Amino acid sequence: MSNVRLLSSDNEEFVVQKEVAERSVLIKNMLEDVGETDSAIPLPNVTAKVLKKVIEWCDHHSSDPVTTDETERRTTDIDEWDQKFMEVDQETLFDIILAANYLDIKPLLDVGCKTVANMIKGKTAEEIRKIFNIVNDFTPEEEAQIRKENEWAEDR
Amino acid sequence: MNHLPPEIISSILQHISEQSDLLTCTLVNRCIYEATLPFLWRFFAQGKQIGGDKEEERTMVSTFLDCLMQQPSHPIVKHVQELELYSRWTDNQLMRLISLIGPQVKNVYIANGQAISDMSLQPLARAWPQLTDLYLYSASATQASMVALARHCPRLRVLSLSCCPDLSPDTFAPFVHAGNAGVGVGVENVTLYTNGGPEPWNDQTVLDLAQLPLRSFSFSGHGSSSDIMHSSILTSVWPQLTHLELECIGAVGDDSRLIPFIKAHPQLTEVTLHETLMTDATLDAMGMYLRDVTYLGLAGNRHITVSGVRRLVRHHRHWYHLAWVDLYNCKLKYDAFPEACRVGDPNDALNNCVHHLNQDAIDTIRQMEYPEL
Repeated sequence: MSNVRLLSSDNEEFVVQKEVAERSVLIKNMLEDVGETDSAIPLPNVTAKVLKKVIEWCDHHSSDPVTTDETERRTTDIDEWDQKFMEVDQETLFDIILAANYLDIKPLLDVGCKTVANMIKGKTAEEIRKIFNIVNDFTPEEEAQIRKENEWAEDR
Repeated sequence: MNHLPPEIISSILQHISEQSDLLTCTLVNRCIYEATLPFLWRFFAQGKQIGGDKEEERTMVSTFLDCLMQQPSHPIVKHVQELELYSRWTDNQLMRLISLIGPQVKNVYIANGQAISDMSLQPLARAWPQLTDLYLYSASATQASMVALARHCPRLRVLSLSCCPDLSPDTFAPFVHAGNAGVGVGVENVTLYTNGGPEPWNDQTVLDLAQLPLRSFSFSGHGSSSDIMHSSILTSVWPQLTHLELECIGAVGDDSRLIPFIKAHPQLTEVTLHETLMTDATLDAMGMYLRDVTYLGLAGNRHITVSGVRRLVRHHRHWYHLAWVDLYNCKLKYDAFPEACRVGDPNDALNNCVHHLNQDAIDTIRQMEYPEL
């Protein structure tokens, strides 16, 4: 099994099995484009801290079948290992999501987004703002307008 | 979260299905409000709870339309993709709706189409070219609407026409022509219910239907003209068919017609055959040729027996997903079939007929030993 070298934005190099690295569609396509190469693949959008996490995930899931089934992707169940994996501080969680998006690793992106979705469910708007440190940029009039326009959605 | 790009926020929101959670998200801040609207308003149903009061229905439709016309315009105008209309809409009202709502509409369900005709259905086809699913109940649609749909809605896959009295025998011809001309993906799912009304179907209708790449076919006729199974051509078409529903097909629904049809359609997973003349021979054929049945609707089949049903369920354990067998009005005696389920008062002497098999009954039959089998 051949290895691939990956270079993080802060210049740390990681040596990874090709099969593991190819969980990333971006890397897979790059490898196909350049063919056999000894030089490290630069990943300017991912720090070493986050890349380490992403590689850990890809390694654990390296033999997963590729699923394209929309409904399966949409279920909010997260398997136990992934739940543990996602027990990180919020900044890291969002960094993993951004990295999964950039590296085009759909199943990891889904796990990250499901984790955030589960943090939103059942909360009030104020609670959501507090959890994610979001500033309310609505005026009271705008808020009333939104409540009014979405009144219909309440009893659907 | 403030720093996430909008497409990531959308990816998060797609995992939220509760309406109440989506409503809450609209109030968090401006950025999340914008991202939530397409999810909140993807589906819209109008007037579901309304009863029979026509005056009230009319007011309701007008209020709905007035609301859409407000400034700034309501978000459903831009985001709704699935539209269910339950009130009795008129052509004029529907045309106003079409002029307001953008071209992104995919699914349309019109439950009370008595006052809907070609006058609004033709503009509908032109205005909503992304249409994939159309359900019409009691609409006065004629061939002109079908021509417009086939021409302007190349993605149409589901066409459900129930109690539409003005359809012609050529209803499906425009879709066949569009398919032959390479326009569109082809209608895959057809429902035709006449429920006692006029039945304009003839042999040409069957020939047209035979040329569509159907995966699902539901038909309910009435009386002697329901000769949809009469044509032997149907045994050689629709190899991908997974869903079949035939009701009231009368004398043509006997073993000699049904068995070749079943043999030719091994992909069937949901099968409803009501009030046919089938015997246990058809049940045996289902067991022999069908690979993975999940639902069997056998209501009103008076010539099947308890042994036949037991044999089918027992001998086909590889139908792992079989969850329900409807046996209503098959006149199978509960005394002779105690594993099955009945409904109503068990002490009522008249209530001695089997109604259905649920998962438990199916499991029981698979575990029992029967001397006669």
